[in-house]
Amino acid sequence: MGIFQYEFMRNAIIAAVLVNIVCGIVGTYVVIKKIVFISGGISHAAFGGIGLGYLLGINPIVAAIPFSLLSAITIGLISKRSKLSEDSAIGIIWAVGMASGIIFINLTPGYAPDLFSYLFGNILTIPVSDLYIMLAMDFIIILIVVLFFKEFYAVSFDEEFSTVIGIPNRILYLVLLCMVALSVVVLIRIVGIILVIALLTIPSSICRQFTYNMKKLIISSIVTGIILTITGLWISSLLNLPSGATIILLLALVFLLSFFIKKAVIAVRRLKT
Amino acid sequence: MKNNTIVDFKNIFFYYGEIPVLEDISFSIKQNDFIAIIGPNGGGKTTLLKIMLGLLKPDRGTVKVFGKNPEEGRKLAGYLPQNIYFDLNFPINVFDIVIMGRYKGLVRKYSEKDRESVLNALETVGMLEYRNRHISMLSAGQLQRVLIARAIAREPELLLLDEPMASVDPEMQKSIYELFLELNKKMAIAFVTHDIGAISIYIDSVLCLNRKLFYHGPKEGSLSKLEEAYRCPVEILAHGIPHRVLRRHKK
Ligand SMILES: Nc1ncnc2c1ncn2[C@@H]1O[C@H](COP(=O)(O)OP(=O)(O)OP(=O)(O)O)[C@@H](O)[C@H]1O
Ligand SMILES: [Mg+2]
Repeated sequence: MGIFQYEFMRNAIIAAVLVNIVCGIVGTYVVIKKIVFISGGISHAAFGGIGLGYLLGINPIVAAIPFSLLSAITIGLISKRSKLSEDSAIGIIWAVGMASGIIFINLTPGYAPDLFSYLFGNILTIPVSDLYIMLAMDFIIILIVVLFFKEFYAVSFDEEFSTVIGIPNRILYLVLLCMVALSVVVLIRIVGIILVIALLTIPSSICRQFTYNMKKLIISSIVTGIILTITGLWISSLLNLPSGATIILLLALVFLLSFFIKKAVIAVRRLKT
Repeated sequence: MKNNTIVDFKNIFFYYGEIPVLEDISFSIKQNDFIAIIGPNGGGKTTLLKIMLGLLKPDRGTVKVFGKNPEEGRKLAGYLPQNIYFDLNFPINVFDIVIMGRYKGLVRKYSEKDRESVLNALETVGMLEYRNRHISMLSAGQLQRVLIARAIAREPELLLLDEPMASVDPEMQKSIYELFLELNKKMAIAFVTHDIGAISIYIDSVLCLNRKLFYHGPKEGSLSKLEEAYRCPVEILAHGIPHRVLRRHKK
């Protein structure tokens, strides 16, 4: 595994770890609360922020942060407050974000370098500055979830009962969407806007088949995500394939296999009893 | 006098769009009340409970719960909903559901006492041995008992239950009614039911609802009003029991 000596490889591996911490935590909530489509909307809307970054000449990832936070809050407010059905609202924000990104990039003088990497990701070209952004996101998200674990758990399970016992579920829902927005931002570098949703949700979808314990689910999703991302990275460099897409296909393959593993686990347990 | 009023409804009107669901409802629930809320399907019973809990806002009229707005007052209430909206595949076991009933405020951790109350509540509904079960592996009646445990584990001052006996077998029903009688010494209880036979045995007052409030008072006087609300003779409602039981205690 000589490839892991290079600095860009070291950065890639650090990024894989940092990003999957976020994915394991936020992705688990996305999966159990069934807001996968909302998260898809937020991630595509983030493209507007990327475009804005190009236009203003700043780091597109930094520009994407306020942009996707804004779209997360908008989706959250529209979906809960108005009669406009939730998936229409998501669809609209999704498209508006992408469209404004395209306009911004078009307005940017000259050629937009490595635009492609924001769409499809490239874990091998991550600059050190982005690692710091990821680290900060990890810190913020871990802090929020550790502080309000009980509340997020209760609200995700049963909104009505949570409301009755005095949990501010509206606000927590918006905070959750904002965490999705922040995760999306850090994921864009790894797998790109279009594939973000897969890395966010597949590890938790794999792991939830094997545990009913929320904390174990989060931790196992993180570990699964790290292992599969690094493995995917390794395969992509062996076969000379794009890293983001390879990682996603590997995740999907393992997800498929997990059904069979689950069946095997059940069969073994039955034999024992 | 004001002090022992727990819930106070004054001229409440509630509409779903243009459909009137509750019209001019006024009543109060006092400390140690044990009230059965009855009425036909669509009569507004669930709506009434949700207004008490601040989950729905009345279009007109005022509600006070423990003298406060429902959003504040509901923190002292325990609630069993009629319909569940949660996902049975959610990663949660019986114990973790019931301990949510012990929630007291942001950032506060569940204490040893909370855990004890949960185990006690599970014991009383006969679900202690299932405490580590995942929710998808419970029968409907077992799940109902777990949700009853969640409501009582809260040790509320007002217990609101929407058809608590749905799916519960007769033996467990009897012990849950007895549990309610016991709990009633410490808290007011209001519950929705269609079981008029049980009212005759356990309950002292009845609130009869079909869009309007047809009756609120001791069960003995409720017979004719009940017929009016349901628009059918009570014999049919209670399989012939009421003549004996609803009138027996007439003083
Ligand atoms: N979400 C809703 N939108 C529109 N109308 C509703 C809604 N929920 C209830 N209703 C209407 O409000 C009325 C009262 O409903 P509610 O659920 O309070 O009845 P209920 O007395 O609890 O009936 P049940 O015995 O069937 O539980 C019904 O006529 C129903 O059609
Ligand atoms: Mg009802």
